[in-house]
Amino acid sequence: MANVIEVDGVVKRYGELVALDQLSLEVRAGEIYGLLGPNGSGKSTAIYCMLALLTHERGEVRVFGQTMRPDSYDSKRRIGVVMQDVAVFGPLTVEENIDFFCGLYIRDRAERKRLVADAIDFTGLGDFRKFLPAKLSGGLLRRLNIACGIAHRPDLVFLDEPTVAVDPQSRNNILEGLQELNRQGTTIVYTTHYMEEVEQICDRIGILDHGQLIAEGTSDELKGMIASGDTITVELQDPNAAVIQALRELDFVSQLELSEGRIEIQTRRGERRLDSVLATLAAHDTAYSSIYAQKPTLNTVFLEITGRALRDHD
Amino acid sequence: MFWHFYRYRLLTNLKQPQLVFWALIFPLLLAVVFQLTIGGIQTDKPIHGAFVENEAFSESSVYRDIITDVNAADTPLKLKQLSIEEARQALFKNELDGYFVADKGGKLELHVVRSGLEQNVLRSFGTAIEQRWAQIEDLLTANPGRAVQWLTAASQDELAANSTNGEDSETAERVSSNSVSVYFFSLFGMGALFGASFAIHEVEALEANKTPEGQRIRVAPLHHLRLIGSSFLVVLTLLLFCQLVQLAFIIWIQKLVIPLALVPWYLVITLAGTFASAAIGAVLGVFIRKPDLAFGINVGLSLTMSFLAGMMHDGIRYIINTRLPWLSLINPAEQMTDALYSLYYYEDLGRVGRNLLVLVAMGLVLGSIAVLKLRRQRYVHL
Repeated sequence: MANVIEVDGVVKRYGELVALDQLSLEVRAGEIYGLLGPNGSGKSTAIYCMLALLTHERGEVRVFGQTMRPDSYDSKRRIGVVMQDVAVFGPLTVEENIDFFCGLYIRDRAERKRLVADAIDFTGLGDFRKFLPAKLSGGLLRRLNIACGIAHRPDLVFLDEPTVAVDPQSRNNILEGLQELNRQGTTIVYTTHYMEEVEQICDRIGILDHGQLIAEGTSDELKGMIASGDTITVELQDPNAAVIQALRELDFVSQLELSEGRIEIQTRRGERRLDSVLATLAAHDTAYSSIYAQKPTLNTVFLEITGRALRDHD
Repeated sequence: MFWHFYRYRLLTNLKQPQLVFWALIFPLLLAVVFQLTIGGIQTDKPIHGAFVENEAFSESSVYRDIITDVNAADTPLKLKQLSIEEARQALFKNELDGYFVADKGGKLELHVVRSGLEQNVLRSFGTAIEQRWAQIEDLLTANPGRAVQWLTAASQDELAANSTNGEDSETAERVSSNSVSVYFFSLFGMGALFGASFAIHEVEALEANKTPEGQRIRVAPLHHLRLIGSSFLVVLTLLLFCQLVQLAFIIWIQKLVIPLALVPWYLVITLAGTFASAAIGAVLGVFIRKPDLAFGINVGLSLTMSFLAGMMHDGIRYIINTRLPWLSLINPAEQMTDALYSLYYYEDLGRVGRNLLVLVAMGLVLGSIAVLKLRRQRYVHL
């Protein structure tokens, strides 16, 4: 698969602060690439540098095989951008906003009309086309933001945290829409600090922290990189020191935390010993209300690599 | 792309009620307020002035001609010639509102014992003589009625602003039109300057470090200079529209009489004024990071410059013109006011030309600075 984006050793500083530290990554044609990291990790800066909107001190960005510059109009014509902040004009209606931004890429009026109608359908804004943005709910506003970025049918779309402050239902609608867009052939670069979102829609994920790409791969590949295995959670009715100690001494347990009758057991990689936990509880005649095991998440990956949880910075 | 951008930016600006209010509605409201308050006061009280018979007075027949012609015209200004002692006594007995002492260079020194409307009228009259000395000398011979029109224009304007007799003079029909004064002309300057907010708004929309919309526009495949050109045209269109509505309002509603031949000059003045104002707005927008702060500064600047251009009191304009002429020179409201005023009262195209030149130069310098900054292609931070 050809690379649509190639970022090679990009360094970006804000004074003393190194926002991007030798960032290198590749995005392949047709994939959804997720850039995951806590707030302030450099995700937005990385996108702005890829779009040649921000200066950078070192390194190179190539998009569609061409070095990306502010006047790379041929490349820009094939790119759509959905910013983190809603970027629409308040005095224009939904339809006018989409037409305005689409018109920055598409000259032909008839074609534009068709594309605007498609974008409205795609984002489910048909009933709101004459509404002003101020009259839309948060979710609808986000959908309008997306419609403005994709109406011209770009080959590559950057989405910078498009679901921030969106209710779960609207978030699901947005994510399903993006998957549909991808199925239609659009390459997507998606930044977020919500690990569930990247797990749900991204083919490959890059984890960014302090401007460095600390890990990259598919969700399973990333989880495979760490030493942690499943997390077993037990809700105890009457926790006692003896059973806690016995669980802690099990050979596959790497970490155990107790909090208000709830025990979280972190197992070592490859281990999934729910039966041993159950046997230990039975041996100590300890009653429990629930017990379940969870596979490692991307938060576990981030935690293990950086020592911090993904949302520590929220 | 140019016209697509133009069309939507025009629409966006027109749908911003606060921008339209300041650039269009507010000056019209003020014009109505001026007419209702200033234009409605009646006064028939004559204003008594005198020229002192000294060497300069005796050497030139111009002063005697002025006295004769002004007294013959239907104006509240009544002039006489007196010796210096007679003038002093008359002044202290309140038989005179003020007297002039001429020197050989055509300068006039006004002596008064109090300040008020009458003294302002005499001061304006004296200034008009000083400023047009050479032309008056010729005109008094060729067309005395016209000379009186010129001379009384300034004093009538002062009267029109503060009081009127409600009747047009035969020799100065336009001059004695009650609703017309520097107050009304300064509203054009104020409207144009308030309209600079359109430019601030445009810069806000174009700059990626000011708004997310700006980011979206900047990543589109658009040539920046074309984008800036389209945006600037939007501002000019809006400003010109507001100015023309204001002009039409003053012509049709407030009954300003403008000869047809002068209409193109009015258009050129408003165009130059809008050009300078757009450039001022662009510079404010470019250099002040927070748009709200830029809007606030623009409103403050507009009010201050309009005040200095005589919007609230013509005396301020006189003081600035005589004591701080450089401030008048860099004040676009004053340049517009002065151009409209000179055109209306004197048809002095030379002076209008100078005003136009200053406005265009101001627009070019500030506009170039704004464009140089706006056409940058990448940002250090957003």
